Amino acid sequence: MQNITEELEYWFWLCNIDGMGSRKLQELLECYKEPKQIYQLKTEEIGKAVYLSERQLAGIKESRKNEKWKKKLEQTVEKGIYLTRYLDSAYPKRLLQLLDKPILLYSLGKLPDEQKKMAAIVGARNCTRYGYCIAEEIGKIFGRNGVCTVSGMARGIDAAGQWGTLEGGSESYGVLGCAVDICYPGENRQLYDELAEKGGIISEFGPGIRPYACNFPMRNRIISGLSDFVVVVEAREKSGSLITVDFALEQGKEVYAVPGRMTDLLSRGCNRLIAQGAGILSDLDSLLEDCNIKKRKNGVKVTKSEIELAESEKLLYSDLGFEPKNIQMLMEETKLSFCELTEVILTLQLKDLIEEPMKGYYAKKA
Amino acid sequence: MFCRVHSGAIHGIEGIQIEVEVDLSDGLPSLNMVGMLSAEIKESSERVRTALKNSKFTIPPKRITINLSPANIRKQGTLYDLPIAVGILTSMGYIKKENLEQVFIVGELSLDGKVNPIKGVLPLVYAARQAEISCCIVPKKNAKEGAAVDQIRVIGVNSLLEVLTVLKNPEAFQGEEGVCFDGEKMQSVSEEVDFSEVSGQEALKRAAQIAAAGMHNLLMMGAPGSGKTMIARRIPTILPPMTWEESIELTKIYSVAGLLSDKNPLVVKRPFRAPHHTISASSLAGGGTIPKPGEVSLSNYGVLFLDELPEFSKTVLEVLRQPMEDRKILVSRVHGSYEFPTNFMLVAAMNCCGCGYYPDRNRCNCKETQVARYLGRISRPLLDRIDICMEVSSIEYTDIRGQKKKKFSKGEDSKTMRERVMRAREVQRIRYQGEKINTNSELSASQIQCYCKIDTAGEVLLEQAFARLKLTARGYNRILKVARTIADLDGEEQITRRHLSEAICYRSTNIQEWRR
Repeated sequence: MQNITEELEYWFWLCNIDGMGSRKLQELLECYKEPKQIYQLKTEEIGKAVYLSERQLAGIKESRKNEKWKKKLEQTVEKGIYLTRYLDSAYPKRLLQLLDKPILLYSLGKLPDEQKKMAAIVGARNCTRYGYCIAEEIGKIFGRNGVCTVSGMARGIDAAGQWGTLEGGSESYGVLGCAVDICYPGENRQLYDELAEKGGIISEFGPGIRPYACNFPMRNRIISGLSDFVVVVEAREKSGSLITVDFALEQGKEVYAVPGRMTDLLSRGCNRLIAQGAGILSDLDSLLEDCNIKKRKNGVKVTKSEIELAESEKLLYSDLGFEPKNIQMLMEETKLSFCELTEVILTLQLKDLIEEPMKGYYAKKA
Repeated sequence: MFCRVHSGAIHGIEGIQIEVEVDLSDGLPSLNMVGMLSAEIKESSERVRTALKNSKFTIPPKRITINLSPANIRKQGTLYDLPIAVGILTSMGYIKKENLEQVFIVGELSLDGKVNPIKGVLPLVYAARQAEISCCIVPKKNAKEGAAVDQIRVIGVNSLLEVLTVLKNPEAFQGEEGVCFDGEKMQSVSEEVDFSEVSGQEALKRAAQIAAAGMHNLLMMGAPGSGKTMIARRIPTILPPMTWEESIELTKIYSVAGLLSDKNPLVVKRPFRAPHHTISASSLAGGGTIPKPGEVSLSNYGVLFLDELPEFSKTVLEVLRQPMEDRKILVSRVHGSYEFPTNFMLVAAMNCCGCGYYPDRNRCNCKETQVARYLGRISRPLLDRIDICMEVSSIEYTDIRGQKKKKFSKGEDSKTMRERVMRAREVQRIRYQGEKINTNSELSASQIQCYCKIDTAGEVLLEQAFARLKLTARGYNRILKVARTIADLDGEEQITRRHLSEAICYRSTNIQEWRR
């Protein structure tokens, strides 16, 4: 548990004033150096040196009315949440370069290690199964080769990439658009727990702040800020992931995209990025070279052991990809009869080579 | 002067005998009716009085008392007009009392003395036969329906005066000719749709055939416009023709519901009922102050098709549980409990999400949670009762142009499919002779042990599949039932690996497994 110093208390107070953005806070801190100093000043006097809006002034007045925030800080720390000021040595160096760097970071688990390579894996929430599997694969390859990943812990691609990294044996960091003690989305509870244990959960939002839509673009700048490069797996033409990409380009980070077919709506965003000059990830085998990462010697790619397959089984297996296909499609493509097909499907299912992600649809296992 | 006329009432879908007692006595002129009567029966006094007057009879200024016995049964409907009129006439001496002893009378009167048709004639005539009455007088328009009952003469009448003529000497009149029953011929003539019109969708057609062969319930899931409704409409065409007993039982239900006409006095075609999803629970199950059969009973021996299954309200869907399990439904109301048969085959169709295109992410942008919520509207217990669950893909251009492109030969027609279904049904009928069941879908757990013999390869497969696919005991039984039907269709006594793997393919997985 973190020690609550008097200094920290005032930092906490300052950063939880309603209506204050990180740029304004920075301005204030440049002017007065210490939050305690600001606390001791009269509200009107603060407004003299730095321009403050009506709302911000009201926020300061409100926050000074009582000392509830002290209690709040205690509760936060009791939950095992760490607070890191931007002046602290533990503060991620990569974020210091941001103009609007978060003044106070809340975290569960670790903060990223500066020495390790850090990749951001981002993409659509409503992704295809293909996208999900690819994101997971990419995460695994990074994980096996000691690359850490950072993402938004959202549904779909984000979660897939983070699960993959954890499975590959590396650390992954989730940057949230709400307070760190809120698990959003709720269905990723398991991922949240794993991340807190094996990596970290990071947020700039103070205790109790709910996942408002306006928070997400803000957290995206932290995702790109924490990373050395950004990988976009699937994105629609108008996608939140592209906001992350914009931040990354602003911050001078490399951007890589996974290409897709022209007609796939979920690949439009990625393809456009590639057209605009983003790096292309065309092969999982050469992923690391493409991203300029040294391959770890012991990070050998695990190949599926050769399993003896009958002729018809081979036929079906080679026809299947990550994208689920239904029986009617498979019948046409393999020219097997319905009865034969069901038998082959079951055999492959029992050999754990394919799975049924949705009723009646079959796909290769990742 | 007292007299008694035999008549009947409907209780559920069965008729019961009711005695109409009429007495003329001295006193202030009045017409009193007793015997737990509904409003339409009380009104009948006016109809009877006017009909008698218009048939040139004068009602004597006497005190007329009418009792419908047994008096503790609630009676409704307009079928007592005619027996009451006959009773009054008999009391007045126009008809000999002895002539009424072997006559059962039902019918509604119009003011000019014409006899109008009523509901439920078939079960009423059955009740008359049970009471060992030899002759029935029914409205002319219901005569064909009543004549379906053998060992009893059914005489159709058009007017009150005709009734009088008949009753002068009931023995002299010929009964109505019954409908000559030939289920197979009747059914094939009356079909307007055929499976050969469905191009492509071979997998689904196969599933439909299996469902028909074992009376398994079928759930079709797929994108809009993929032919789910089209397939469902054609399922009755591959079900075996109705037997005489089935036809009679169904006709009774339709008779009570008032859905028969004099052109179609018997239900000879397997019913196909497709209620809209705004249906209420009681119109599905059956209901009313005196319960009438609902859709589950009207689709008895046929197909109950529920399109857009998740759009049905939850309470309505849960109503289906008991009828699907017990093949009958007990509807209880103030005036008693009524049992209706519900031996239907459920065919349901649904999309996979609100927009219908999931999992095609190019077209569907529903959130995973939305998809889950949509699929979650179907409860687990209901899914547990559906043996075959089939995914339907949308039809592509090549499929529509199938015949020309030679990619698909013209689809099989209903006749060949039905022949196969009938063969499989015959196998089942012979196998289950000693049991109370007719089809594989009715097999109980202990019967499954007895009748579903699996070869060794199949055993191995099932054991593996059980662990890998996380089957439940209930799911396991359903797979065996469907495998039994597939084997019956192939004409094999033993269930093999091939049958099992196909059956496993049809299993309906639970919601969590439906999506990633």
